Amino acid sequence: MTIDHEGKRKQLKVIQFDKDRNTLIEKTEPSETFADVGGLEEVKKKIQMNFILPLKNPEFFKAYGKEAGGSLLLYGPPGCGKTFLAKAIAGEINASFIHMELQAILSMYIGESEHNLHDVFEAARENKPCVLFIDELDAIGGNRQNMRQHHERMLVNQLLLELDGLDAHNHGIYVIGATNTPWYLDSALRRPGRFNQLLFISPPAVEEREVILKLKLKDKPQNALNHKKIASKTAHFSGADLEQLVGDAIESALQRSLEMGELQPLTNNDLSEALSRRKPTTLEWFSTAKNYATFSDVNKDYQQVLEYLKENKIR
Amino acid sequence: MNEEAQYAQFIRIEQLYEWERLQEAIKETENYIQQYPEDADGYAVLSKVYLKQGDHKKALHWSLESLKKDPENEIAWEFRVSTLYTAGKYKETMTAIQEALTLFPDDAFYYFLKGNIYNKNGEYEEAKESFLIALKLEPSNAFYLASYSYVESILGNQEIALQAEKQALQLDSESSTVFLYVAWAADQRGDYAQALSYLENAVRLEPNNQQLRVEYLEILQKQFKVYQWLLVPSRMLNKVKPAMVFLIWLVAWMLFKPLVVVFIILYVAAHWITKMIVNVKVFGRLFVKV
Repeated sequence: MTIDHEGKRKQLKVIQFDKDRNTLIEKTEPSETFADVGGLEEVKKKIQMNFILPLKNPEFFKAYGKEAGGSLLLYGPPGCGKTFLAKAIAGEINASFIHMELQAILSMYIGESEHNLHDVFEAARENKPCVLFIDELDAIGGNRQNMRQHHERMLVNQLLLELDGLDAHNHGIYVIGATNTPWYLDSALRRPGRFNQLLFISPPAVEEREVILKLKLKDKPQNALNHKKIASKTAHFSGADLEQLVGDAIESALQRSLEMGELQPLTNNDLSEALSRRKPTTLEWFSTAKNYATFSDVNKDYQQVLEYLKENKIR
Repeated sequence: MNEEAQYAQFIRIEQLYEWERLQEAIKETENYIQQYPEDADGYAVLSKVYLKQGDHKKALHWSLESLKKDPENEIAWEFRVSTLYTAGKYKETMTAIQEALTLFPDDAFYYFLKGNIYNKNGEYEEAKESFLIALKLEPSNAFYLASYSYVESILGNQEIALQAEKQALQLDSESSTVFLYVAWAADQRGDYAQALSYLENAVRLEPNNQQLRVEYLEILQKQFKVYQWLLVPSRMLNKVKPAMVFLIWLVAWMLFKPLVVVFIILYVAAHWITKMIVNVKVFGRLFVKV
């Protein structure tokens, strides 16, 4: 993690919908920026070029006929840092951050979910500039085939209505969607002006895994851990997978400590043993994504996935 | 109010099921059963979710639990029969279908499944009769029309098959299953280009379905003329019962041994060469596990 020059961070205003209280709650968190996101260089470059620089220098882009802003759709296996990246974008452009989760928006009562969705967009309008991050977009905007019931369709329509307002009332609102299953998205959501920029967020590369491991193991009692070696053995692991791996290793060190009656440091052996019991969860995602990319990719949206599979020898 | 909450919870289970969030759907259904233990629908829906998850044992168990609460529960019967069918237990499925039909004589779905089982057993006339009953009860069902089209195509009634195929697609052009059945019909009449177009649609709609991927790759192989010629005998034998097929091969072997050997060698060679060409075109390499 890097800290800015004055030694303190800017604060990020984070707004979330609280289902129990049926209202929006606000809190502040230390702001993240791209410098905090390990790896993903290509993705960051693309976001800089297509999303952030047009916001910072609108006159240059306008001169070449390119519009500023728009909306982004991040996709990839679960647990690979889509939320973190979205937060970093908010940090980069110094905007508030609204984290909208499907489970919080969905109401048991018909009509109320659309109302909740509208409230979230209204909150974004009141907190400009604002990054509105819509997590699990596929569940809200699932394709019509899976959406025979009228009330589910209404939620998609409401989302389209709010998104189409982006030009008129939503200046200064930057919508970022995230999904593990972009192929389930309603095609209406993919039209120009909506989520037409697709970005693949891959699992961390070996150097990133090393950074993540160091971060997760920091401040834990340990005995000369070889982060590099563990990182090299955890190909295709997501950030979340690594967290679970560390959790497993800590558990066995803790158990040993309880048995011995004194604090036992975490060893390479604990991590290796935990590793033998865990498999990367991303592979299942890749096997599905490969099928969509090979057989169903009419618009060539998922070519990045095929390239990644080839480069990383995933079959 | 309580009824509204119960209904809302039921709808939520259906939503989770549609989104294929099956673990969550199971949890939600278990909650539902805890709250409404006397409602047979809860157990029946649990059976439905387990069937989708591929756990046939649990699906059968929960359908039985539902039928204990209400022996005439429509959902439980539907998923009991569907599970037996999906598990490939066709004899037991037939028995269950007969029982279900005594309770729901006008439910076209059971005739449709019966037709499919007859089809699998090579009993095409019986299959056709079953599909016709299903269609009489539900004339606008695209699945039934597509299955009917396939069986008529096998029986050589191509004009009727084509008509049913067209109707099926007019009714539902977003179902991979409908596309698969009409592709079989086209394949059966030797129209491989049409079959390819249908399977292309099917696999685009549901690329994660292994059967569709395999059949799509096979139909790509069948676009090669050499392979098409070598498939003529097997297409003709498709219409004949398995025992008869065996007999024909036996007689051919005894009478034209060298010719049969040459045919087998050519067939195997054509099969593998076309398969490898297709693999390279689709996946960029020779050998692939689909």
